[in-house]
Amino acid sequence: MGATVPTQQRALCFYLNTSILIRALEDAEAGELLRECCSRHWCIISGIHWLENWRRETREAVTRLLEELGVDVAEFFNHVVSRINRRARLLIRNHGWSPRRTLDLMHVLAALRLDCDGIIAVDRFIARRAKEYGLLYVNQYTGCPENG
Amino acid sequence: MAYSTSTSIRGAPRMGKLYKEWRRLRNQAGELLYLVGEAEDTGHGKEAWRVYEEWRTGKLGFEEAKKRLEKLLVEAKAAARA
Repeated sequence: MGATVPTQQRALCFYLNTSILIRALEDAEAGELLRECCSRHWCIISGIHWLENWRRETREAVTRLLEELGVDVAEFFNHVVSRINRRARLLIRNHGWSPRRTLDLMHVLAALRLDCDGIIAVDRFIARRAKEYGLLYVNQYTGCPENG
Repeated sequence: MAYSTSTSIRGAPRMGKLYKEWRRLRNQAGELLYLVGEAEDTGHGKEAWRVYEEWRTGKLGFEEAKKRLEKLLVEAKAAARA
């Protein structure tokens, strides 16, 4: 009783920012990274992704990719989306960032809300926010991290 | 005030056409969502989300959607003051 039982290394949970999904459609290296991360770790997207304005062809290609990768979707109730939006706006006002970054911040806040270990993206702004909030930032240059 | 939303990383390969188009739309979505949130705070969330959905589904251009949301906000603020 009370003794520590050694366990297997656990898989990490990564939030996929849309930037990496779009990049994976154009760049083989980004696609490889996603395939590796999704096979070793638990990768998710959230309902915030449905707020994006995509061309029909892009949406279909992303949907096919998500199915291929076996990515889970964590949906939010509307009031949670509103709270995430409010928090993003507060951060934008406090830091003097562009309102254009509202949706980027909403994705980072969604990753925090879902208790993710990290975020996979291709965006310097998201990389900085991830660092500030203690999230692992993964892209094709960092490579897929080991299990936790 | 000019804001930068540059995502370039020194030494990184250039982003493709698809990425650039998505980034442009993501910036527009961000601007509109900021206004939608402001409208929600004034109790006009339902109308604001309707405008956003019209833009998102291509029924409304960005400039028109932005104009409508800004008008909604001005009216809501005026009503709150009255």
